[in-house]
Amino acid sequence: MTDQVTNRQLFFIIVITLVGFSIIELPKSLAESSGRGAWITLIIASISFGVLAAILAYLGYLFQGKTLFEYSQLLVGKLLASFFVMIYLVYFTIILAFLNRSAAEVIKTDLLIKTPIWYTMLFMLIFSGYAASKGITNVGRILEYYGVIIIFLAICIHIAMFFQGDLIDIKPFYNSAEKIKYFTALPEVIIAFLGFEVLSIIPFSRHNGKKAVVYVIGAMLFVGLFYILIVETSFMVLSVEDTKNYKNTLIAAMRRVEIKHLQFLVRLDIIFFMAWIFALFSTFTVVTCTAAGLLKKLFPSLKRQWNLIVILVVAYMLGVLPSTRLASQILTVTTKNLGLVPAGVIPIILFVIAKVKRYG
Amino acid sequence: MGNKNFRSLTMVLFVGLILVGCWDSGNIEQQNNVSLVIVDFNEEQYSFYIELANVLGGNLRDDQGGGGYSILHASGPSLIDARDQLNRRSDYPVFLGATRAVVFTQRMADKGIEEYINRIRREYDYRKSVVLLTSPTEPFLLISDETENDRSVGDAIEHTLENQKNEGQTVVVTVGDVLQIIALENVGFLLPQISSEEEENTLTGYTVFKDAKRIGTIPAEERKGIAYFLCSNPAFYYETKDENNHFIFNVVMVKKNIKPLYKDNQITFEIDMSFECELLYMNKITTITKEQQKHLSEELTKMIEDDVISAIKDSQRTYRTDYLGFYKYFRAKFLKEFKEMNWEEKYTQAEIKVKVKAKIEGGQGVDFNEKEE
Repeated sequence: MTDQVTNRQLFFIIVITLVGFSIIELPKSLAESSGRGAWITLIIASISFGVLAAILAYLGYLFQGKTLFEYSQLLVGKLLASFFVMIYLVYFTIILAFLNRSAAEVIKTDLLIKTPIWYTMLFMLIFSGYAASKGITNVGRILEYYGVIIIFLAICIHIAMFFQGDLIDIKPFYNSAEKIKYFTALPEVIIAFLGFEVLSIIPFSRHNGKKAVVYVIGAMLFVGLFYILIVETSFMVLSVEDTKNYKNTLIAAMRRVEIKHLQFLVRLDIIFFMAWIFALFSTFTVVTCTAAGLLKKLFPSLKRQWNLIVILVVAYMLGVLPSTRLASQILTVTTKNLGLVPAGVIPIILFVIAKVKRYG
Repeated sequence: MGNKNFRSLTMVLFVGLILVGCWDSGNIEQQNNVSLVIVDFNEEQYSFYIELANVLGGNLRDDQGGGGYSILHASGPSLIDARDQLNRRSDYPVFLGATRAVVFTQRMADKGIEEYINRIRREYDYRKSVVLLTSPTEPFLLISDETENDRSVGDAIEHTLENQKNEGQTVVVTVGDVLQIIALENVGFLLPQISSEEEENTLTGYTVFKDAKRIGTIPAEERKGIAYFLCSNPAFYYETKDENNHFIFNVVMVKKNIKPLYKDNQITFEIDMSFECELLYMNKITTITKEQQKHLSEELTKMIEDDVISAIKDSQRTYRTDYLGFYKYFRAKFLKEFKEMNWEEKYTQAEIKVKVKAKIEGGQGVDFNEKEE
């Protein structure tokens, strides 16, 4: 059987796909929306999205060896199943195109000032496309290593930031006067928790068992805690008030921190960029792999390479053509408003039908 | 076969991409690496004085036969005009990532530094951990200082501050700190002041800023009280005298607790500070009795308390702005109220209660007579 991953690989696939891009702007959107209570918003979000991810994982567990396309055929018929897969395919292609665009813009403003965006985008897609051509099983294996490196580096950097900042800047941790803000800020963090829909193309095997659901929930909660560490330490270094003045807040925060004892590695942003580009590459690889996998479900006769090339070309053209403002609007609309359809609505519909039809 | 073609295609693309190279690549020798920036405003003209490292000369000073450091000056009616002239004068692109310190002249500080700070925020290559200072000395005098050990004046200024900070003697203010403060309204800040005294660059005090404009200067001799609020491990020498002896103490702050209260529109701060006072030596070596110990401890408590109170008084009455960071303690507890109030106004009316505890300890070779006589 192909396309299988172990539970541990599943954990890293979800964590890395989620954190890849959204961390850059997360501190800004939280500083503006929920302020010093950002950690509460993040906990609520990680639990809610944990439940949605668990539903998708549970469906995978119920229908072992089948992906979303196959089990939705059983549940809602072939036509509707193809429609669902279409939605996922369009969604992932748009995400790939515009995440790549946004990442290239960040790289242009903060790292490679003169390198044109079309080039950075092309470079990213070709590399992740090549990795994705090896199939999700191999991608899972790479991510197991990359995941450890990325998470280890990120945690080290943010612990260093914690000691450079001052805890008093992020107090009070809870302010009863701002209770409602903690909830109204939720739409701002949706983008940060999307990405677990990659489960739709990963068939679970007997070896994954029921534990897979636990690993998926664990990954979502881990991401929540990871975000709290990132956001709070950024607030400590930048201050909540000044965080609002930056677009790429995390990079701005990195630029504030220096550890004199590290001699030639005094500036942390070098390590950060390394880890972040690793993470971006991993995210794009998983998303490309997912989109190509979905396309194959719709057109089974197409060869894998052609699937990939179609996805990469479409995603590249989509991402490179619009103006900066239009591109960021499309990304916001897709993630904020439409993102909940593949992440929440479709899995819930399928779950309810599965229960009504007495599967499991 | 198809698979093989696909592979060769990707290989060709990879190699092609790598050969294209990077648009941003640049040789370190083809950059003007800045180590110090002095910003001046004189007769309606903004000026930059920058110190540049000559990488090809191996960073040796002139007398060692190397290229050493060179100084570049540019001016214009606005900051962009001055920068424009600077660009037209430098043989390679100006690279700010290696800047050690930014010094504002007193005239510039009077004019206001907010624009320049926001400029630094935007300049991607400027480190946000660059130290900021002010200076009443003319820029050319400051930048042509002979350093003792450092390679450049920029390095020397940063190291002087860094060493003093490690000794617990001064507060160091970076671009990041000032960016945090100007994001708030109604909070002031201090910048260390450096002046050329007897042809040596010397830390001579602190410049007080309100709305990012200079409103006064506090001399270095009065810095103790400020350090107790702003330094992480302040330590100073104190000297007490009685009719026949002098006592020299090393006073180290071990605990600081600032508790904000807010009742009936009135802010109160309760400050609790504990100090360990190590008796280093005396003018004449004698045994110190219990009674003497008590007397010395009272005297030290009084001296430290005076320093703390005068620092608070300066901030509340003389300059009427909060540069001692009281707002952080208040905001951490009363966020909603803080957002709604005019902090500067409320702060100047705040009641501040100070409690100082000084505990005396004998250093090496000092004999405390613990027994009752």
